[in-house]
Amino acid sequence: MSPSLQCGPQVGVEHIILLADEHYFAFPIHCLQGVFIPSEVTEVPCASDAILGVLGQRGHIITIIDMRSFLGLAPFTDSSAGVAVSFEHMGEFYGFRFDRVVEILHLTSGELAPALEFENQSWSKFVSRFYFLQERLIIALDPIRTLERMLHSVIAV
Amino acid sequence: MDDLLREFLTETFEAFEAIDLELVNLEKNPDNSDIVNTVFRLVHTIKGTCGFLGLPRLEKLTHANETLLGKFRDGMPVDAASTELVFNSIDRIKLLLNELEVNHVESEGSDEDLICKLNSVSGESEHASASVAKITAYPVDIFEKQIAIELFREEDTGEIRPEAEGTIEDARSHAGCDINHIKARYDIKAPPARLSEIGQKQERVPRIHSVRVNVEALEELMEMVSELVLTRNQLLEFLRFREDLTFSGPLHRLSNITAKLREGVMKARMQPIGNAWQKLPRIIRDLSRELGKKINLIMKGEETELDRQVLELIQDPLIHMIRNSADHGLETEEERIALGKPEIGQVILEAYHEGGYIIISVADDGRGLNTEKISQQALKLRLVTQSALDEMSENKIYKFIFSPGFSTADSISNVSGRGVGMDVVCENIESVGGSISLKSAPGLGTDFILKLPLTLTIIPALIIEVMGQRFAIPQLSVIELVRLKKGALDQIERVHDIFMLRVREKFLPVSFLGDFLETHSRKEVKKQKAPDCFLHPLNEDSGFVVIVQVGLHFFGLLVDSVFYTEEIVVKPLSSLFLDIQIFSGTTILGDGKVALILDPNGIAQSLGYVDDLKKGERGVHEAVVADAALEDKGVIPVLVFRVKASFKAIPLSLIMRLEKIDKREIEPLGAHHVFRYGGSFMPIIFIEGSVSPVSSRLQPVIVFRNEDHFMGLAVDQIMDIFEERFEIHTVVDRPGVLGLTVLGGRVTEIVDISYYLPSFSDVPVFSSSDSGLVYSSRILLVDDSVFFRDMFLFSLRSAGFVVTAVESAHKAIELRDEGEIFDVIISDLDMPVMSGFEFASTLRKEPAWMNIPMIALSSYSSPALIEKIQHAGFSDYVMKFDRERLVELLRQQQSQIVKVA
Repeated sequence: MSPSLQCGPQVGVEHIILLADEHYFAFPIHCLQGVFIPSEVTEVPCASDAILGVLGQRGHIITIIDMRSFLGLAPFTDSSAGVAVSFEHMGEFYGFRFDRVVEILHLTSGELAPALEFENQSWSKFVSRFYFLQERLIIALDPIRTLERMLHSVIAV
Repeated sequence: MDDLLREFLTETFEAFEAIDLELVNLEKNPDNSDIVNTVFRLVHTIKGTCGFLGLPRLEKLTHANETLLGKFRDGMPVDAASTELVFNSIDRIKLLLNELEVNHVESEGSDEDLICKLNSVSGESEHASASVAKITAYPVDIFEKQIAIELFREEDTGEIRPEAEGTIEDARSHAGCDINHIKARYDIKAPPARLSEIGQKQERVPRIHSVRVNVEALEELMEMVSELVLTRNQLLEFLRFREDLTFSGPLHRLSNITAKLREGVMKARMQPIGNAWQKLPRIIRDLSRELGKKINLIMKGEETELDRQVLELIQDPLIHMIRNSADHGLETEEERIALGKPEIGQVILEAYHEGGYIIISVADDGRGLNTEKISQQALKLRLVTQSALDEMSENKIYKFIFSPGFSTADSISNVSGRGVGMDVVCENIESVGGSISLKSAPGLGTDFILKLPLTLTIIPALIIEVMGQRFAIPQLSVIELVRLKKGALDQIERVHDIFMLRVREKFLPVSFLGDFLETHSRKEVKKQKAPDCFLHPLNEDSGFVVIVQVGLHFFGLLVDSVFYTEEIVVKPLSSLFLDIQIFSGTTILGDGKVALILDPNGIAQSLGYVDDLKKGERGVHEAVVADAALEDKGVIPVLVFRVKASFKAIPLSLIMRLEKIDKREIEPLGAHHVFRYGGSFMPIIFIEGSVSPVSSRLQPVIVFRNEDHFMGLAVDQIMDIFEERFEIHTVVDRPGVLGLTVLGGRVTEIVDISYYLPSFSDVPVFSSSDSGLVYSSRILLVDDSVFFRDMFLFSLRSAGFVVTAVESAHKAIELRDEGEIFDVIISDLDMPVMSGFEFASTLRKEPAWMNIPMIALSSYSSPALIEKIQHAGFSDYVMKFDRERLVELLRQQQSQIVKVA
């Protein structure tokens, strides 16, 4: 069973904080397969805009998703840079590309805030929680719901 | 499920495959005691294990079976009835095992029917099963059971399985577990005594020591190996730029080991093809009973290995083909004797390796394919026209059996003749990148030859580059590579938005691969510029055309460069790309970068090529059209002219004259243009929709006569008249174009002039009024060729007739039955399914259209033909292309009608 199944909001768990266009995002660390700098990405023609391409790692093919594009944020100017966090879902590997890793944090319940209403409705589909920390708003993402959203948009097209 | 039970099921299923095979052998050689012993041992083991596992129903049945086999071993004669009984009971056991697998418990029910029969044949009473029953009576723990099973095996075969040795050793050291005690309890005898009982002469078959490995474990190993290969490649690359030789020795050793490892893992995935054949002897045996034929199945090359994935995929097609050979291929015993052939028919199955492929041949020594029957069926299904058929070689005709719904069996039997056969087989074989061909000789037999790749996981592929990105194309679909010479771009011609490549006087459509590849950067540019700018600039100096075959279609893909052929490890695409049909997978190249694998099938689909034989209606129609153009062996003189960059042609017979007119005198009239011509106005049609920039003042115009008025077709340049035989290819699906052909070495469009008729008739008619006709004859035109239909439609409509055109005699008869009435019927003579002659004589028999005058269209003339035409009931005939004569004839008919009125 995929470890990312228990990737809902969890307190007292280490989270990786990632930056994308001035927004902070968090994933529980134990859900991740790895963190790496995506290089040698092969573009997949005809694929959706949010898909940066594919790359090979330890015999696996990882599909890299550009989170800026997926979340509808301003495009990343330097397409070769950034950092990706990878997940396994249904036997396939995916990497979410962010601008950079900010830090690793232990999030506690005191910092939890309920999910807000989003201007962008589609966000609420995969954002699990918010945390306020050192004057920053951190958005915790559910990787599975994010992927399902991604797959859904492919099938819908 | 209990581990023991699962293992038992797996083993027993395997054992049964072997039993089937052995029993068929036994039936053939009833006196062979070796076979009896083998079968006996297999059944004995199953019975014993059933007992340990507490499966009383299975145990009882296998026991009765074993008893009968025991009698055989003791010398009771083996006859057909008793082997049939053994077969039946084994089928029942299989059924019970299947149920056991699903439900995990033995299903309720009784097998007394079979057991009684078995016992009556073996002359045994109930008491025998008692010895087994005592085994299950003991409450035993699993460990003890396992040991007992192993010991039982030891008793059976005289040896302990290597993987079981540990267990038994453990048992020996296990306190409180006494092997002798177990043996005594289960009545297990010492092996040597048992062996001597069976017989000393028996040769010991060397046992293959094997370990059952989960397929997933193998796949994982394979993945790791390919990762290792990549790492090694990177190291080698790294070393190339260094002077330092310290690492070169160990690195080369690593390289060799990696290659061997890869080979080894590949081999571990391979299985002998014999595994897929085990069911076949039983199938043939049952078939031979059912069909009442004597059939001998010969299998050669069972040890030939191929990837298990391929093996699974071809299993069903093979069974189907074997059935076909036995049912269709082989004659009955009486027929064979009458023909002087040996009464037993042979079906020969053979497998061998050849150049990276595995070749499987399924041959029979039967009657061979019946060309006549196949031709008739092909005509019936409208796969081909009679005349095209006449020119086909036998081999081409045979290929029709791979068409959907094709069956030449006179009656539908259980075995075959439902017409869901060879097309599915063909599809399955092609889906794994294989191909199928056949040879046949009347009276001697038929031989189907399958060519299959050894593996699907690692395939040879051509690595190409387009727009700076590398892609892999499976080598199997690549037919040829053409290098475009520098500055010799006349190899490629442009017909509208279609590019054509000339290869050895043939031409095929070429697409720039980049046009399919919607990358981010292209999307960006596209936003800013018109979409048209993406037509590949063909003025670049060089490039390659990869000629690809998909089904019956050949097409070229223009790429920037071609690198090399490499064995690539195929990895599936992520489900995020499910909607992209042009890729079939991904692979990791030597330098670690991922390349996408192009799917020629998907590309063909997005190009709109549909397989003629597979896609029904449309495909059939196209094939018929292409054949119709071929059919006319007469030379069709055509005028070739140029409009913008494309060359076009029109049959000369339609053209009245060529003119050059002063451009300034072409006047706009609503949406049209007209020109004052011979006292009236002539509409001028611009083919490409707009006035083309001809630099000179004079505009070349092709003038068509429309009874008393004219129509002009404005062109850029009149080129030439060609009088040669040509083929029309219907690769374009564009209104106003009938098809493409090669004339004078150039790709030329044949213009469908009837397409321009509607715009013609929009223009007010400027005719002189002397014809003064008030009545227009209603004409029915029957011709299967789109080309001629359109040509006559144009001629006749423009001559003022009301024309209905249909493509077959059957369609015409439908119109009759619907109560339609015409003044004249014009019919082609040479049509598929129902010829013009048949059509005429059919009409003459029924009152409805009995008296409508009929005119035959013929492509040649001879006294015999004229007689035949008249005999069929035609009132007259006209040579095709003799438009004037036809119009004249129709006028005569019309004036008669007017007179009568």
